[in-house]
Order: sequence, then structure tokens, then C-alpha cells
Amino acid sequence: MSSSPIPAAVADDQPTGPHPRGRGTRALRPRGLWLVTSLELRQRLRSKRWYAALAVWTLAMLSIGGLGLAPTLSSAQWSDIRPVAAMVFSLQMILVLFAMLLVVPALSAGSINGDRTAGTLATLQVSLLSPSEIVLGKLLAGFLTGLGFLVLALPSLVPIALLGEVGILYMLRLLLVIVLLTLCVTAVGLGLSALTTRQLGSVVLAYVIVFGVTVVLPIAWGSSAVVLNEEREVTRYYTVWDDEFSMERSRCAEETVEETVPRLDLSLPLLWGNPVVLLAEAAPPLPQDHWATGDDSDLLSLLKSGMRTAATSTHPSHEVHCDPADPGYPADLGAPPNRPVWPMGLALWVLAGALSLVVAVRRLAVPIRRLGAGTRIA
Amino acid sequence: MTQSAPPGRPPHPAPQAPGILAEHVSRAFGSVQAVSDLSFAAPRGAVTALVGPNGSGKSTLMLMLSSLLAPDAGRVLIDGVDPAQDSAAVRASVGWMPDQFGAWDSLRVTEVLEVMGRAYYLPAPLVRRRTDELLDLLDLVPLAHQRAHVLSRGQKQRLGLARALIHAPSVLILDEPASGLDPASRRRLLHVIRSRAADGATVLVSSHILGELEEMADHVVLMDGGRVVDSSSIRDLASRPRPWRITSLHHQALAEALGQLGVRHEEVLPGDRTASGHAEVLVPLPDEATAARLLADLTAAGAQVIGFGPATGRLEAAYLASDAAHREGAL
Repeated sequence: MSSSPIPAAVADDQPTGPHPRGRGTRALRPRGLWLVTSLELRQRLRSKRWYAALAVWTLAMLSIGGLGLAPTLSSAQWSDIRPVAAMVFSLQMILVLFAMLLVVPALSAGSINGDRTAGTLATLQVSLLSPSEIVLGKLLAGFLTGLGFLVLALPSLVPIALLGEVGILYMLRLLLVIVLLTLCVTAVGLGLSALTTRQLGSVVLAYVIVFGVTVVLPIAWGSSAVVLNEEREVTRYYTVWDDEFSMERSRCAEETVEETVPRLDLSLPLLWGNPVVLLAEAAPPLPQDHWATGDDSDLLSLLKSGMRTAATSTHPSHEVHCDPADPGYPADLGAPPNRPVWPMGLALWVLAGALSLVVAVRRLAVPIRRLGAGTRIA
Repeated sequence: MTQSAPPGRPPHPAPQAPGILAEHVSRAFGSVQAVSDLSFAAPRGAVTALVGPNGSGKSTLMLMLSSLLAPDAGRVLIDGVDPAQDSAAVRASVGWMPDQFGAWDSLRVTEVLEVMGRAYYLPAPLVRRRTDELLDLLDLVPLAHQRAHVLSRGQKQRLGLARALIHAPSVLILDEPASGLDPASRRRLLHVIRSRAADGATVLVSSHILGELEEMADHVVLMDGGRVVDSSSIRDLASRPRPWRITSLHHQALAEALGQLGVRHEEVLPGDRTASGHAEVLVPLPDEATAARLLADLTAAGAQVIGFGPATGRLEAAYLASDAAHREGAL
């Protein structure tokens, strides 16, 4: 009897396309990659909660932008709008970054073990999809979802950037940093999801890592000043007046003293991975005479400048408290070393992301040789 | 001229080679030895039943045969290919249905099948054709546009079977496929499995419903404690001892006839102690030929027999005769 309409193993009904030999762990075909990505995205797009979350996010960004500019706009001082808008813009970019750091771990860190619990991971593993296609497909889906939040922030960001006369290159640099961080955090989340059995465990672990690099390590960095300091000669420049009562005829005086200097440059690696620091690193530097002239700047430029100043606290140019008009104002103390932090920070995140992906791919390879305690395949 | 195998498929093995071969396979999870030095073969074009109590290692064995889990020792061959050597080729040949099929809840039934067809890299027209055929075959057409999360357990089982069949595998591994199915769906499952075997596929199926397995399977492998404790063809089980139930209109006549013939039997129950309302007795008999002779002798001795048949199925009798049947967690 042969009544089944699906005959077994008929030659012209075979799978098409190149198929890997052996375990096929590293095979990466666009069709397989997009299948997993579209599968993940389709499931998210069918959840009404997502639309609600995206709508709330868009409204929140528009509201923050509006509220930030409202006092200036209501006072009709249009000449003052540029610095305020630049400040609001930088604040919004930090908010977008925080939104990414909140949303992306929740998506990616439960992706693999969540599917395992639901019994759908084994269904994919037993097919001809390779572990690389499954992992990278999930990475792409998590990344694109994260980018959705970024795109929906643009209706608020772009007008404010225009009002603040924010440079297009500056804005693109900021967006690039957020995009790269989103990709890396998604990858780290996937790695944790592949390593841990429980979905809740990996999500919490991902938040602990994000919270650690964003909040705990900066506190540790600041606290390190207590132990990382040294006694050394410091040359200070300060204003003295010939007539202290009238405060006329001032001049810049030099004084060399022995004092305890914090060496926050030694503990600076604690800040390398900080997402806010990485974002601030994309901001233009403050002009050297910023503090004297009081030029406008935004929050990210101030953060960047403050962090770099703290990391080079021993440079004599930081000890000039004179007015540039004072006679004897130091002519050329040079500029403090202005070493960027972002190459190390990005390298750190890219490395962590890449390692996480390797771990996830290895954990999904079949046949499974080692199975974590309490892990069910199906 | 030698023809090369299609991509993703193993080279054609010798036709007489078993579709599934396990040789001294062992697998432990921590201190628990799930499968221990297990060997068996499942022939092509036949249905092999895997029977054993809970925790006997059936699902672990099926995971290893499906290329999902590697054995600690020994090897498995699927259509002559070792998953450890060429996992992709084995996955292309195997259709696996777990005991609890996890479907993507927000996807529609049709979409689940299409996703799986594409996951096996089938051409798009073929995916659509197979999806339609399988929806029809497994009576899923009315549910085609329903989301998976609204399906009942039985409906999900049918979807799971359709998913396992989407790439027309030459080896089918089904873990408790009848679980949660209504009687009509069970008949349909039986038909699908038998027709797959008739088409030449190797089918390995586990179930706790021994009566249906007996109807479905050609061979049985009995597992206990991670080992094969017995294996036989279903046909050969007929020549094994099992109890037969004899029903008679007259209690005294039946008891006297059994006494005359010197047949070893359990207590002859009078009609007021049986569900049928007639006198009944259980007689252990070594095989079906002996049963036929006894029936003739009882009739000749005036036992007024109105019912004569096995009290259990062949498979159930074989299972009950094993140590596994007397253990906690047995069927």
C-alpha cells in the first residue's frame, strides 16, 4: 500500500543548495540567516505589547524634547535656543543609549534558553539550519529590534539637532556608537542565553553586566582616587593683585607646592567599557579656553572633557587659575595628553560580543556532547 | 556508473542495511546512566516500536538517533551515516517528532510548516506543495490559519507529525506520537505511519499505548534501565506464552471440561462475578497453535464456550512478562 501523498526520500524532492558536510557548525547561508531573523521578528511583530512599547517610547522622546525646549520657547528668547537645543539633544542621545541598554538584554538574553524551554530550539537544531545561522539570525533580529527604538527616536532627535545646529558628522558618530553598542550587547546577551538554563537567570545576568559597566565601574573609578594617589610637586598659577583692596593691577603668579595628586589615569581602564563614556567620546572636544570663555557646549562634550581632565590631573595646564589677560599668564604649557578611550572601549565590546557569539554557536552545535546540568534538549 | 548523492543526503547505503543501527551506545547525564551499552537495528520499510517504562532511556536514545545528542560511547548509524561524522546528512534524512512538540505560538499552522520546509532548504514551490499535502493528510486544513497557541494537545501532535514529514525523510523517529490524540486521529496516525513504512521509510515509534503499537509496528524493542531487554518481530510474539480468556454459558461445564483435559488454569469465575455475566477463566497458553487445539477440545468436551481469545495483546503480554512491568513508573 502506498497511499501517502508524501513519498519517502524521492530523489527530485531533496533539499536544494549547498549543504555542509560534517557537523556544519559554521555554515552561513543568507537564506538560513534570514529565515531565523524573520521568524524572530515575525513573532515580535505579532505581539501588541511591542507596538505599545514603541508608541510609549516615541511619545516619551517627543515629550522630553518638547519639555526641554519649552521654557526657552515660552520666553520667546529665540537667540538662546541653540545652546539649549544642543544640550537637550545630547541628553536625548544618552536616553536613547539607556533605552537600548534596557531593551536589548531583555530581547537577546532570553532568546536561546527561552526557545529551549518552549521546545522550539531543538526543532531548529534538528533541521538543516546551522548553529551559526540560528545564532546570527537571532543576533540580527535583536539588533534590528533595538534599532527600531533608535529610528523612532529620530522624529524627536532630528528637529532638536537642527535647532541646536548639531553637526551632521557628530550626529552620525553618536548614532554609530549606539548601533555598535547595540550589536555588541545583543551578542553578549545571546552568549549568556546559550550558557544558562533559565531565561530569567540570563536576563538578570545581562542587566548586571550592563549595570556594572554603566554605574558600578564609574563609581569604582571615582573611588579609586582614595587609594591611587601620590605626593608630587605641582605648579599652580593664580592671580595676585598689587592692591588687594581695589583688586586692580593683577598679575599671574607661579607657585610650586607639594601635594597629594589623584592618579585616576591608572584606573581609567575601568571606564573603557562604559557605554556613556563611549558615547561621550564621539562628542567634539571642548575648546581649550572653554572654561575661560564660557563657550556653549553640550552634555556629552562636558562628560568627555571632564573624564579626560580627571585622567590627566597632574598636567600643569589644569592648575592655571589666572585670567588670560593677566600679565605673566603662562604662555605655553602645552596641552594635556588627550588619549582617546573609545578604541579600547569598542575593542572590549567587540571582543566580548565576538566571544559570546562563538560560545553560543558552540553551545548550539549538534550532536551535543556536553549538556549543562538541568538542561533539556527538547 | 556511480551516481553521487544529492547534497545534504548520505550516499545510498546498501538496500539490505538497516535504516537505524545502534551499536553499544551509552549516554549518561551526570550520575544518571540513561542509556547503557545498547544495541539494536530498525529495518527499512518497517515500523519498529520502542517500548519501556518511564525513564528507561527511550527519549535519550531517540535524541541520539536524531543527531541532537552525541553518545558517550558506541555509535549510531542512520542510513549508514554516523551523525558524529556527518550530522547535516543525518538531519536531512531524519524526521523527528519529540514527545512535546514546541511550536512558535504566534505563528499560524501553515506558517509553522513553511518555516520548517525552508529550514530544510526545500525550494519554495515544493514547500507550498508539501504544506498543502500535509495539512490535508493530517486533517489540519480547518486549522491552517489558526495560531499555534490555540491548538489543543492533540492538534499540536498532528502539527508536530506534519513538521517531521515536511522534508519527506527516509527515517522517522516519533516519540509518543499518539499522546493526546482522539480515536479518529489515532487511526489517521496509524495510517500515516504504515504508509510511510510501505513507501520504504524506516520508522521508529515509542508509545505507552501497547494495543495501538501492536497494530502499528512490525518489530518491537523492549527497553529497561537504558538497555534492550528483549526484541522480536510482532509476528514472532504470537509464539510466546500469554493468558487467554475463555467465556462459557455454564460455569460447571467449563470447570469440568478443563478438569478432564488437565489444563492448568486460574479460578473459574461464575457469571455473577464477571462483567460479561458469563463464566470466565484465564488460561496461560504457550502459543496460538495450542490455543486452537484447546478450543477444539473444550468444544468437544461440552464446555459451552461462547468466547475464546487472548486476554492481552501480544505486545502487552511480552511487556508484562519482563521485569520492567513490575517496576514503579511502568506503563
